[in-house]
Amino acid sequence: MSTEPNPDGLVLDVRNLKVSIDTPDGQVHPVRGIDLEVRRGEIVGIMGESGCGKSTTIKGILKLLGSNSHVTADKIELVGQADLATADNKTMRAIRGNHIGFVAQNPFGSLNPIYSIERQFYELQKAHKTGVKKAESREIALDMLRGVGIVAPERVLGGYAHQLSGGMAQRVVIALATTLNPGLLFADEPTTGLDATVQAQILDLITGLVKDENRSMVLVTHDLGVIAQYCQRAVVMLAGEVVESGDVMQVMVDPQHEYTKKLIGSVPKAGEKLSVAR
Amino acid sequence: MPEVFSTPRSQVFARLVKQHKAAALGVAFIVLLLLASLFAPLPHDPEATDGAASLQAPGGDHWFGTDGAGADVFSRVIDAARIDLSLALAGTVVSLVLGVILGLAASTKGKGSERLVRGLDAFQAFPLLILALALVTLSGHKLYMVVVAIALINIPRYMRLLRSEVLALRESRFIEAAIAMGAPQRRITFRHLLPNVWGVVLVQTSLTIANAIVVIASLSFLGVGVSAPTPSWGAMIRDGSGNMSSGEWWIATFPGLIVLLCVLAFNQLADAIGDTTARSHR
Amino acid sequence: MSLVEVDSVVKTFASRVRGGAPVPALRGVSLTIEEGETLAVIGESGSGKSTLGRAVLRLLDVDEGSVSFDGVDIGSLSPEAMRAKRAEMQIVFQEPYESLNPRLSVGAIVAEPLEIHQPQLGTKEVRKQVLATLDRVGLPGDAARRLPGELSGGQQQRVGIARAIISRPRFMVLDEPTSSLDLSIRAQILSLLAELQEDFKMAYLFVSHDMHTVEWVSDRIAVMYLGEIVETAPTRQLFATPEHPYTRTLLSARLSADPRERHAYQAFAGDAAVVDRAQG
Repeated sequence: MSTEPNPDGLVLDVRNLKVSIDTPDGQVHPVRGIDLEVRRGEIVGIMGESGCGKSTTIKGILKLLGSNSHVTADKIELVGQADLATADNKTMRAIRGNHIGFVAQNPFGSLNPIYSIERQFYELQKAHKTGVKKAESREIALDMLRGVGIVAPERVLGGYAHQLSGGMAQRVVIALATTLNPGLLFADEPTTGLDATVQAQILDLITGLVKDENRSMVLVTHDLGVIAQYCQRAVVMLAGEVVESGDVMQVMVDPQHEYTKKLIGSVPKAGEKLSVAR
Repeated sequence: MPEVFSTPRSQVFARLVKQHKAAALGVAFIVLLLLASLFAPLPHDPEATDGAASLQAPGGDHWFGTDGAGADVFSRVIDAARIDLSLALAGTVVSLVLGVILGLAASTKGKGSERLVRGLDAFQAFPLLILALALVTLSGHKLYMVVVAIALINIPRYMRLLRSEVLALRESRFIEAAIAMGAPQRRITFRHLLPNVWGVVLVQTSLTIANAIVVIASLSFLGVGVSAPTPSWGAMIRDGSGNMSSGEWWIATFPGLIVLLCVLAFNQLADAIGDTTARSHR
Repeated sequence: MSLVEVDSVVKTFASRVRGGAPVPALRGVSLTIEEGETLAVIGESGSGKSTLGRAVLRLLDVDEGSVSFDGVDIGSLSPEAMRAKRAEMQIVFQEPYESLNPRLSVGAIVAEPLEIHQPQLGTKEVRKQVLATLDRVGLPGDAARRLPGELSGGQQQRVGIARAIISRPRFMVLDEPTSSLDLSIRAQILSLLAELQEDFKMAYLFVSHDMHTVEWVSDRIAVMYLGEIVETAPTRQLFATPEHPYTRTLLSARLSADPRERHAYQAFAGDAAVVDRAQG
């Protein structure tokens, strides 16, 4: 990342992001003009229920949506780098991985099933840097795997995705996402579908990687516990719009918007009635 | 079982026509062909020969020309639809009924079902078209043997299809739910398993008709099955094939074209059904 | 005598891989469920909790041990008698859509248990009961004519619940009934299940991996780990003073939606599975 002076420590500044998608039944608008700011060292959680546009938001920023989608914004400024709103595909490819690492929900979808893990580290580095040696790539990969808490990295490196458990595969994806040392990480429901004990380990790991290197992260989740326990700022989305955002302490303890109140009231708490307003 | 709440058969037909124009066109073509062969007055007697009018090129009085014996090719092509399509449909119905019953039997747990599948493997190792040829010839060209031949070729296909579909369905949650509610086996089969395989069975049926048309044409091309003077497409193609080199292309080409269109129509229909039932599934 | 008594049940599955080692799913599980109470079974993937739910309903046959319902060993019942018994013991599945026959209307789906268990009922009576049950689970009457695919996930789960309660069971296995639902829908379904239990005095075996849900819903909790119940305790007690180290690990992995409440994750010392996972 560039180190030019930036008083706010702003890393990502998104204004009026809109995503529309063409479907056989007409155009749909999953994201309807949202703003998003991410500062250095900060973990921003985007929360909401299915269909609220939270995943589409970060995929839209990364331009990872299909060709039937249209992403517009007043700006998507990756501070010191580029305005992603107007960036071409080549720039986006360089940005992804180098400047923004992406961890998707399903690790097995992110890993190539027919390449060894070692090969995937090599391909990743080769794509962003010329003249990468295999031996050099292997050393880096071993380092990265150790960094995500894998005890026997040599064994994992020689293996394939299908030989890994869900938690292990997600560790490998996190290692890959951070190999090129991006300053910003996007994580889309990184622990959904994992067991609670594995989830805690993976979240401890990924937020540790953010804090230790003074990175920033945007964490998309439907799990209010993940927001409350791991994020500093929370953004609440409903039907493609941000209904409330702010400091986690404020949003989760003293929510202002009715929808946020309802969501928090829906979390089962022993001895209390559930909020079931429709 | 009285229906307390009727289940909407989701307007499959309307959707089919709207979204699958090729299939709709195909069906219209088949229906028209069948109606014409059954009821329409043909311009000439299809079995009448007229030595004086042999080998006339398409035009004027004879739209598709005449063959070597002077019979009107157009009338013969249309008339052949009656016998060729009826045989194809009859063969398909027999294959469908027996194939589904045997397929269901082959998709239960247990020794019997395993034996059935092994028997199936052995049976399909035979070159079935040649077997069919032999059967029809030995029977003295009885038409019902053509139906048997089609069934022999297609029953194993239905069986395999049913088996793979039903075995997969048996693992599904709603079948487990049916067991959990105490549904007897018969109810599970007829209310839960079969309605959920009809989609693929229909697709297979459309493909079977197409296959049967080709088999019948192949048999009569080889002089087996439908015998002269009754017109059939395969025999017409054979009769006309000799004339191809001498320039009388129309005798073999028109029946060939009709076979092609029929097969195309049923294949399109199969695609459309597959598409529609897959989508209404979710 | 308890309503449900599970005694030393063992179930081992053949390996999916040819020649692979058999997979023990239940390794001597015992529990009891009283009339009208909710026993939650909590555990992570591979703990055997779903297998247990199915064994209790004899949706799979156990290798050893017995399951009694209302004093009757259901393993010894004839298939006929077992089918009749199923009116009293029901199940709601995790996957609402997959558990409904996509070709049947909602009304036909909910009517089915009545058609099976009370064939003497006339069409009119069945119709009346189906509509009343749909109403009871919060579905509009016109839902009866819809196909499951036309409903939302929460509505589909209501259909699953209606089908389960229409035969007035005394006991239901709830196999992660809210896991695939959105938070606000989950709250609605949990509340509905609690109301229904109150109204019909049903006992629940609530299988779940979610500590928040389990804490809210259950009277007692059984913690499963690798095919065994490692701890059973009344809910409040289990959360206040967990005995087994694995229970403590599970509780520490809980993520509270209140940022003021923090738990540090405690790895489970001597946890073979965790080490296994870290080795890949």
